[in-house]
Amino acid sequence: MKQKGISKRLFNKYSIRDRRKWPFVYCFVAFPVIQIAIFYFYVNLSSFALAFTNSDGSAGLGSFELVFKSFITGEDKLGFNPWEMVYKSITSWGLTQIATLFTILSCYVLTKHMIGSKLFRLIYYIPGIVGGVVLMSIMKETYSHNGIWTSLVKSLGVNLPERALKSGLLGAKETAFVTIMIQRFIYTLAGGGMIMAGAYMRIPNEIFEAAQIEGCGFFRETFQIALPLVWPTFSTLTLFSFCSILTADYGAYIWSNGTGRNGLVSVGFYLYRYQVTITQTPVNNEYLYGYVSAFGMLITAVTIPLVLLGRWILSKVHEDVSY
Amino acid sequence: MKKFLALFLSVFMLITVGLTTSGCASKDGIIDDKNTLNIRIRKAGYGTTYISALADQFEKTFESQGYKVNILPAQEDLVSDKVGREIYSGSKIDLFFADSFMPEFLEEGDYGIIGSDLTESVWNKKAIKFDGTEEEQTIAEKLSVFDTQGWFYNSKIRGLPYACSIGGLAVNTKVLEDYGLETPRTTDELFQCAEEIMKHAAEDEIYPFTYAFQDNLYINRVAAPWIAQYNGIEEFNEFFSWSKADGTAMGADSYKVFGYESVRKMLEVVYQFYDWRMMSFGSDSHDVSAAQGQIMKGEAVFYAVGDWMFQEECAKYPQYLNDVTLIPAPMISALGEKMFGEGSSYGFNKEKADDVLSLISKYAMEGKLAADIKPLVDEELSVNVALDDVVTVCERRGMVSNSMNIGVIVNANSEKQELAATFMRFIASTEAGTLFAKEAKTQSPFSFKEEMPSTEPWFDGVESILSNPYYKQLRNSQNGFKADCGITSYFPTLNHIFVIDINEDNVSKYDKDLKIIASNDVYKTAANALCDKMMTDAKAKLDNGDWKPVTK
Repeated sequence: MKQKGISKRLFNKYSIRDRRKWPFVYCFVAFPVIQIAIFYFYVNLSSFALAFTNSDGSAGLGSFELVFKSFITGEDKLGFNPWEMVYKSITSWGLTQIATLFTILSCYVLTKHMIGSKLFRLIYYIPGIVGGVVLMSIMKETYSHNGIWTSLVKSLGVNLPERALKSGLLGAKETAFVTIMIQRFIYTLAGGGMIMAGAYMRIPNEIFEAAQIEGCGFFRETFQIALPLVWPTFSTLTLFSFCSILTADYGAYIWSNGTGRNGLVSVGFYLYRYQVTITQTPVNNEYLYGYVSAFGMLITAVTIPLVLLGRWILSKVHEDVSY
Repeated sequence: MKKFLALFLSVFMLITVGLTTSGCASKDGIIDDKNTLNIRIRKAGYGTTYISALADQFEKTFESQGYKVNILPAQEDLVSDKVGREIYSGSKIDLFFADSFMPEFLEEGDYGIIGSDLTESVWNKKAIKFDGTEEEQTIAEKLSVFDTQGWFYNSKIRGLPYACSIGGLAVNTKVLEDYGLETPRTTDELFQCAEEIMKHAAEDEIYPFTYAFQDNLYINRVAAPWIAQYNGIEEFNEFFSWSKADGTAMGADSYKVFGYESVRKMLEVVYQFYDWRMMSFGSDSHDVSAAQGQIMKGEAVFYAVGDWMFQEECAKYPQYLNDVTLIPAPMISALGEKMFGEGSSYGFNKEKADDVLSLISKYAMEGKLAADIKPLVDEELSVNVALDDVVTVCERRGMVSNSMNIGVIVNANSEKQELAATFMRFIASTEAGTLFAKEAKTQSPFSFKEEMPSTEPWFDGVESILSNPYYKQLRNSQNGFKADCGITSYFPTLNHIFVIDINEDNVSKYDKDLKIIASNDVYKTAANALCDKMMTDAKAKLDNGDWKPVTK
């Protein structure tokens, strides 16, 4: 077969044996490539184009103007405060990260062989196995006016607001968001450790045995040996969470029955809620999708530097250690 | 072996890619046969058994022609936009029983023409009975009592309503009976019932009202009639269209609709209806299903909803079926005050004015005409009410919130237009309507004059609403200049679900011990303040061009 120029050099760079593997490799990657091309690039390019479409269908920055206006006035077309949504999203994310730090410690402890460790591990896995929607629906009942959690809070002598006594912890502005944050914290502690536990279990035991021989205590073992060894896993998980800091729903839709009442909002919830409102309205207003797209683009523009900053910070904390 | 494995995996991956991408155009159970109709329905309040019953009967009726109906899996999210996308994408589904359709969307929406023109093929034709013969009236004549203008666009009609979808108040009559109360006919009577129930609420844990703040506007079912009842249909239409009766846009003056007396009076009632201390346990956080369950079980007494509630709850609460009924939105007592009260020629006090309103309403709901009602009211209350005034009250009593835009359309690209039209004419028959009523546990627009299929009080309620000789369907979707501006809610300066804002104003005449500490004026003050604010905000939005017609 004749090959010319660059392609010939490229072609000859690989041995015949390597070249024979190409059909298999190409077939294997064809599926994810096609999928990403359609469901990622095409979709996002469409959103990109929509963001630069005004409400009357013409090209322009009108949608961005509406987004900035909603931030300046503190209110958007649906009556939500964009700043409140950003604040709630960041708070939810921040609390999740704090819980994750505790998870690092708790997961490490669970990998130690002690009485009941397997049972505890099983219990910790359950929140990760049971579907999120199912879990939330069950939890909603426990937050009702006569639910377990509400009764527990009352028995602790907490002076619940009247609305909370009537409609449960999610029924009052004063208690709804706090309740969800506490619930999120507890469940991250319990359910966020599957991957970390797996990472810890990969570490050869000999390393810890050697450390113990050297006179290493528990905390030194944890923070100076175990943690650096699982740092790549931890930093990957943290980086992924940075990506969704402003797009995750944090359960707002289910907790608030889709209304965002009592402060149960997030940016992710808002973006979904807005487009649901557009599709349900009787007026043909496709071009209002431009507003949502522009909002999403703004979020992306803010998130990208955050992710890069996060990546830089994480890379500086610990260097990669191989074992 | 390795080569074989590599080859096998390569082929396997290729097939997987091929199957996955071909799945984008999956037939999803569609039968491609010229005598088989493929139908998709929305899984919602009316259930899904009605379509199977209609399909079975259709196949029996047209057995000799070999017509078949293939019912595809029902979808909860089958709204008009989704139907449009499916048709635009080349769907082979012939008929869609979906949520509300706006006529302009069926012809000039983003997806082009998606619904077939049914004006001559269905609308102006006669319905087909179960024995295959035609009925006497055309379908248009059968539906003439309803406001079907919502289906017309450019003089064409591209869909058919299949449910009345009437709204009102679900009432637990057993609780009312236990407290020695009568079913209310006016809003004053409603709140008198509520006050009586509240006296025992702390002990019995039964509250007058329940609601669910979800992504719906069920309050629409009573709020719309309350606007129409107070000042009539013209002001009602102006509120929803921001246009005058002759179609002229109100333009920059549109903000004035938020200050209309009918709107103020409606909001006054809604503020009291959403008094959070009168709501049942969980109302601030539970969903529609929980709220409806509370009505069935008697944990709450009144709930604004549509006729579909019974179908949704009857299977879960079989022991409570005779405890609930549906009543139309009680007459707004402000109308009685205006027509018969101290400022009127009659000069009655508040209570007597309400009694007059209530009694006329009672007889109107029994199917009597104004000429027959007048002597009864005059005798019972020792008054002399003008016939014209009785007629006015009767007409306002007949105004009911309907969503006649819940309908079925024929895919404009379907190759079975004639067969689809035949099916549409079939379901428009009185017999088919009765079958629908039996399965969906409500009434059909094609058989609403017939006896309801069951004797449960719910059906009595639905029947009495539709058999009112003054029945008038209210078209309470945004239209006209308001719709042109892309405004899709009652009060665009408030939350899309405006009762959330009302509820969060925390207006109550009760204290935390459920003792009355204020008069009903608190609701009036709140309503007026809200209207004034909405007028100011709306004027600003109109003046600075935030609200203007969306052109394409």
